[in-house]
Amino acid sequence: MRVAARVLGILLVALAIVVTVLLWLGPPTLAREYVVKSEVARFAPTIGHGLIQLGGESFLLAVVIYASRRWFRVRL
Amino acid sequence: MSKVRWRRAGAIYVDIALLGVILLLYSPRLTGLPVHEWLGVALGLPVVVHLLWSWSWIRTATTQFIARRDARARANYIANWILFVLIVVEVASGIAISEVALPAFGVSTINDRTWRALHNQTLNATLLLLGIHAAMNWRLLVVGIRRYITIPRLLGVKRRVSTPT
Repeated sequence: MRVAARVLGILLVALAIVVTVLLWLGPPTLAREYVVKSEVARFAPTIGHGLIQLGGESFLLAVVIYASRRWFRVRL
Repeated sequence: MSKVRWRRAGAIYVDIALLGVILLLYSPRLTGLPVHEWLGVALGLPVVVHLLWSWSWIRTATTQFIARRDARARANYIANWILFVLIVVEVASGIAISEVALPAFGVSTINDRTWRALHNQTLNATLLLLGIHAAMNWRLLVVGIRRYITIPRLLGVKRRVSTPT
């Protein structure tokens, strides 16, 4: 019961954030449609590009963690 | 394994899984768009579990934030809130422009430029905050991995026992 209440609390906060963004931007409309042939085809998975992207993002995250701890003294 | 130990080990495994899922979400060229979208929808579950397992910290930090005790703890608290907001915005905007996940439920979507821009621009801030979050809790993470992850022990790496903070 306590866990359910906490989950409900988390979901309500998330819902409040979504509603705020929805009120700010408005719902998606055809007037603002981004025209592209097929996003699914555009993001067709490829091992080479995919691994480069995964490695790049992991490296970027590692740099942020390293810089935060080493130079900006981000720690508890 | 005692209940506390089991919970702490579970929390570390969930954190590692969460990090793995987030890194995969940052690599749509590896997963393809359908997997990217479904992973994004599924991200909610490990995030909720992560928050539930950190609930005692959340309660204490909220009290301390109101009491204005420690500047560093307050900064950590604010950073965690921003990270949560960014992840919610990231997932919500992704769902709003989804081409696979929502249409699978019979809901038609529009690839709106504004929502798309929000989805793409929130990415960088989320990665930055994620790095800061990991840096803030680095010691806890390292101690947890050394204590509870069994892979290093299986590989014959000696476990270093240190006092958790």
